[in-house]
Amino acid sequence: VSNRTRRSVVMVIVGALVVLPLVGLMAMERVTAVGPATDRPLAILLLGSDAGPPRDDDTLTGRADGFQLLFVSAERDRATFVSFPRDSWVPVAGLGDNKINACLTRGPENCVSTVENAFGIEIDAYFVTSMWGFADAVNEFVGCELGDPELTRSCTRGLTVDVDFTCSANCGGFAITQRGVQQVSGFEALTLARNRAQRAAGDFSRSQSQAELLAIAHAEMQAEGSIARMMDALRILRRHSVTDLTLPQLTRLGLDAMRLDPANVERILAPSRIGTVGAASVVFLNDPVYDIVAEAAATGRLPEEFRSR
Amino acid sequence: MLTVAVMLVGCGRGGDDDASPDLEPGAAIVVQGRAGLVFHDLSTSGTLVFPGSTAGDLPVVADEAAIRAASVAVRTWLDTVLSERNEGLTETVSASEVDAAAFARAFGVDGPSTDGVLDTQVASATYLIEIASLGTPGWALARVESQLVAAADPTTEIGRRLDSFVFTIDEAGAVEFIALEVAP
Repeated sequence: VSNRTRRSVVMVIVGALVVLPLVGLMAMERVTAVGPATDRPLAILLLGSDAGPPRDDDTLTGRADGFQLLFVSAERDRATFVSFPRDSWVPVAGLGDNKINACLTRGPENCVSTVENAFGIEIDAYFVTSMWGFADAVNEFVGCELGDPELTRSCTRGLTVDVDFTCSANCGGFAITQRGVQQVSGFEALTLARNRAQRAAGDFSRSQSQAELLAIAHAEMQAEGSIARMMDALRILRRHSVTDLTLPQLTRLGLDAMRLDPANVERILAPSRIGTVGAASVVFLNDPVYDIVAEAAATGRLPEEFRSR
Repeated sequence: MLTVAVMLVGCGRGGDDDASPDLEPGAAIVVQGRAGLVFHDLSTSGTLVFPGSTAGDLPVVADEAAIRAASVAVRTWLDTVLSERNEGLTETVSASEVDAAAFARAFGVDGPSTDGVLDTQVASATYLIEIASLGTPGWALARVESQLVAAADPTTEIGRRLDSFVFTIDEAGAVEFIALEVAP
């Protein structure tokens, strides 16, 4: 064993001696203070790519089957998810009228341009992840063993979700064997975010589930109220996604999330209807979606007539 | 998560030996904490975001000098704040964007007052500094364990407390304090 290796081992042991006493002191009442929020609302684009692991192609040039807009008020006390079905028919930057998920075939910046042009708003940041990147992130967040989805996993906790369907193998991720409120790992969360075959509302249901899972994760992080837990969540988020935010910007976003009461987070599926263009099945956005996006971008809230849905 | 632990120990004076037995009751103690450093690589290398061998999966080389420099800056900042606290001051915290009121209340400091020293003092401290980087460091979380002593008898420990301080680190290496979580 080299001296360098021995030194490393000694340093890690010393590190453990420093860390362990601190861990024992964690269960204390906390007082938290953070810097002031900025004076403008935020608009963040959250994309789930159909490419990347488990597939071989590139996460950043796939199709954005997960498509969520998150708006946060200037005071950071309100937030709203607007969920878009992947087949939403919009003018896509560089591609003409197309399904909204096609924007990612030219990279996430192209999706930013698509949203900005379609809705007349400014996007502040984007996040993109792959299917397994998403499952991995959730697993790490809730303390599940990582690995192949086919393997039995072991979790210390899970995301608490009310599931309205069951499915066996090949249903988007891991099998879901029971309905009702349950704790799910990243593998079942992936199923919830992807499955449409077993749900009456198909693509609409999974689009809503994606936002619901993100809101639940925020609520669970916020409930713990610990800066250390929040920083853990930021590390997980950054490691399992690609974003144009710098690390300092991401840190401030995490602190904003700590201040945001989960009861003040609203969600809505973009009002829309199923139609066809040629032989393709598409989703046409209804006019109110433009008012919804404009209001959420300005205030972080839904227009009053759409609240509590 | 791939975490590389690099320890910086023995970088400053610390522990019970720091409290000089010659101190008169009420004399403010200058804190120089012991620091441990944990480095978190936030690149997507080795995750399931990219398939192997694509550009996004390439390892990001950590700027070790910048990480160590950030750690030193954080440690120096903490030394200053805890030493100020022993004098009844919060000037360094007050100069930041963070509301210093919570810190002042929790630490028994009334604000920028120099009217004598406090009933309790921080005799020594241990800092676990976690730095996250994508090549260069981007943020730091410092978990601070403080040893409290009575000002009248600085050789006797009367308690310990754990607090967390959050800093951002910009591309130029400037460290900015942006949040804290203090124990009662």
